[in-house]
Amino acid sequence: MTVLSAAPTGWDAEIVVYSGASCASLTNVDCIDNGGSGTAESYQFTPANGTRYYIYVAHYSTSGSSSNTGVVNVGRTCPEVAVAGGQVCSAATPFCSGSYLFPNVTGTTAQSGPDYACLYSQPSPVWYYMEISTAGSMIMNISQSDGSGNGLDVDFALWGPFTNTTTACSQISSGTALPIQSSYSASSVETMAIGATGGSNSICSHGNGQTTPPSAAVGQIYVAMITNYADDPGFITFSQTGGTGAANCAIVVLSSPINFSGEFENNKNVLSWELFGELENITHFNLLSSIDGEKWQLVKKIVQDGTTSNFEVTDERFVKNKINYYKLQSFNKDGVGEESDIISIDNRTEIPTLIKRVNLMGQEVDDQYPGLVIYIYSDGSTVKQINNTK
Amino acid sequence: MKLKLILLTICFSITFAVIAQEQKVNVSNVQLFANEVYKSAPEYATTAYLEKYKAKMERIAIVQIAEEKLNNVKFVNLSEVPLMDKYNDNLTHDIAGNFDSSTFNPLKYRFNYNLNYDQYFRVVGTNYFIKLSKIELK
Repeated sequence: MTVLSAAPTGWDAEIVVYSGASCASLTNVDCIDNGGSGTAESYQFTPANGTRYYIYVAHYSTSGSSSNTGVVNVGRTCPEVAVAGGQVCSAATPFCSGSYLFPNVTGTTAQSGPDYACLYSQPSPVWYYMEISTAGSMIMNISQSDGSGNGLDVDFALWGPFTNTTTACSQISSGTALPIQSSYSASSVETMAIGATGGSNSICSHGNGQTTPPSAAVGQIYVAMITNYADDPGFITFSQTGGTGAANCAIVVLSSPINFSGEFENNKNVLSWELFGELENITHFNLLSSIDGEKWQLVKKIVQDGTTSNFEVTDERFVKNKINYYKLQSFNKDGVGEESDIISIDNRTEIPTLIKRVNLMGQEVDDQYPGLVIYIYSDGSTVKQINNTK
Repeated sequence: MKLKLILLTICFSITFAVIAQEQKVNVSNVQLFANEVYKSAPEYATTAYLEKYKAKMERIAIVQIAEEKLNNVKFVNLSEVPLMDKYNDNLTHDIAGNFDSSTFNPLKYRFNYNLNYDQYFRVVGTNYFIKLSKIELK
């Protein structure tokens, strides 16, 4: 999100925002001139990745010339990335209308069982729930776009209200609970509403498309399934455009910016991850490995070019016949780092065999020895066990 | 090393023997193809989207595989791939009677472009296969 503002003293400021490769080929984004002399002007917009913007600030004057000066502020804020919704109702994650990006998914199909109302097809669904924190009506825009800001066809079905997510998903998954609203329109922005009119009957004759459900009460749970008809990678955002109610944003789970995974392939450990969010925010990654999960060493530093979202790195120098642990550090432009969860790849090719059993004094004992016995295996690992045998 | 070379040669020979010829989809038809699929939603057939569709089309090829070589290929029937027919009810699957490799429109199909292995889809009743190359990870 970018915010422009100008606070002139004693003169009338105007702002124009353009996009384009150069001054010779500009496209008007918007013009801002809300007041006269001395009025502060501001404009807020979401820029597209990879697009160059030009900002023109002028003094409106009937005399045709001006020597006035002033300060123009350009501020940028980046939304936080929340975890993607679950792919079945029982794995639904919280959402709210705060400034979060929710990653979409691709290439998946919907669970069978629920009634999907207008959604004739349900490609690549993600399930979310919201918990009402302020009673009242809510009008919310659901938008989906790719990393370049191109809108992607998004659809939804909404169920509720429920007292908790377990009950909700039990009733939804069995088809007992029907959607209270849905939309299968071609748009990349859908309106979902409670206590107001939302949904759409476009491409729908099923019913429960466009509806006006009752307003929400505090503590109630609503479950939404959002589908990605375009099946392209991107993000979903929820923005509340009206109503007096609100959903609880404190329960939204923020995501590590990566889907970090690894596997043993062709005698190498192959680590891969995906980057969500504004790609230009991450400057580089450090891939680290360990065989004990405590002492870590750098496998590779990977510089992010601002456009890449899928990464794959091979580690050919992993420790053979051990479990190798990996974690990923990502760093932003301010040098702030974030660590992924630790993953492991089992590179053991031999099943460890028992070498011997010893007691606490290090004396070798047999399997009938009573008390604490230490089992020592061929890979050096040990297991302590209390033997009750007498 | 020698063994590796021999194995590589054998693998290459098998692949070459199974797939005799690859015909790429004509990317210059992207506007035509997008217009057909996004008939009632032309906002998805504009320049910005065409670049995305082109990138997808460049991973598509049409190959012919002889019946006796089919044991070497894991495939799905093209008729089982869902159509992107939300914006045009008249889209139909390509089958033996109507398949034309020179006008094949891959944008009609809901292929999964995010897999890291090659996929094959058989045009039912023919020995034509749609090959979708794996996604290249950087």
